[in-house]
Amino acid sequence: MRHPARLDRLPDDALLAALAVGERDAAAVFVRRFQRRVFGLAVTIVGDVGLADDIAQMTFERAWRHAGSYDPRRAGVTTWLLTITRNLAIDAMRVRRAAPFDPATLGALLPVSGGVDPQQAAVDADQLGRLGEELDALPLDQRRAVLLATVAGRTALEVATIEGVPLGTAKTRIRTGLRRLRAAVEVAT
Amino acid sequence: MNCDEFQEQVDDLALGQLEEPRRSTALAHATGCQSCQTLLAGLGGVADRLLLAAPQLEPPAGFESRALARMGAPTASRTGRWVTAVAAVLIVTAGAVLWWASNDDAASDVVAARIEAADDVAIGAVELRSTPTPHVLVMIDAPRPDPGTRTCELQREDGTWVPVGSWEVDDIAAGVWAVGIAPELLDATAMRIVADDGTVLATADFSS
Repeated sequence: MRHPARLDRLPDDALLAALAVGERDAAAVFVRRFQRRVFGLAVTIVGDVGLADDIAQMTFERAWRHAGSYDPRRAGVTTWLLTITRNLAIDAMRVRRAAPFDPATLGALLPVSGGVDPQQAAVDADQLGRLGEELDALPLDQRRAVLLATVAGRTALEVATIEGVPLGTAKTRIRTGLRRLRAAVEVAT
Repeated sequence: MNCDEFQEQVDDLALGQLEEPRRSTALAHATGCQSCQTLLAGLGGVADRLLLAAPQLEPPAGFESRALARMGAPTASRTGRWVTAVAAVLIVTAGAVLWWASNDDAASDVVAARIEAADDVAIGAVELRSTPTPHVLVMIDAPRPDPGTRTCELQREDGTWVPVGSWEVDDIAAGVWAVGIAPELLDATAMRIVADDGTVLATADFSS
């Protein structure tokens, strides 16, 4: 007798534990809970629905295989899962550049023209907490560079091309932005 | 690799962009250098958390079925032994620098025992597992328990009992719970579950 409805009520880490011990209903609930996030990140990075579908499947397969090695001290389950997605997507992109990056993919997350109200580029603070607030506080060029390098999985060279700036400038924006965020988060904790 | 060289590459490493063999070289340096390790952990933590900002999109039709097929059927010996899962999970691992991927396919040494209530009725199973790090996994499939705190204790070979963790029972009847344990407790001879008032609710004998 199974109770997928009850599984649906579990916190993320307990659901992952259920996945780790081989409960098939847990797998279905787990996929259902995270598939939009996983697929959303995959398609953002690779820009190809078919390839993103494959990467999202691989993400869940890998999560299932490695559920027992999840360490809650390192990251939340969602972050852990999205890190798997990112790594797989970046690996895939090294082999196959599926499509040129479309800045519109990130929508309001990454305003594509100058003079845009920075508030329009605000990410969901509920999802990122303090980090989201600090991200919004970054200068727009740094915020764009950091989000392109993280959410969109772009290399510094690609960020430079997308933004129309020298490679050194792109690297500096990524580097400075990440360090500011790191410092802000550490001060807050 | 020295610290200056590491810091030139640490952003790419934190972003998952550094390719082999430079990735392994950089990670090896971080393993032996506390300050670089801290820098990587900080930047990597930020880069990873920012992934939460990605848009959420509905995958193509049939995705769930394809993903489940790829994940394959669960291990037969575990299937159906319990019905649902609940409770906090705290698998405390040793301070590892490398990612979860470094534990690929490691075979797990497992010692299992049946959990029996005071009336000798089987209510679940417990496993002592050595990988990825030593932990105890308690799986309960039982009628709705009374609310309160449950403490898991393991018995050393000398007969002494060691509490290894506890969980709160809420309104969910059955569950799975795990906690990291000291390596020497992988040789535990028994496990027991104790209620708030000290009542032993269930036991498991690893030697039987």
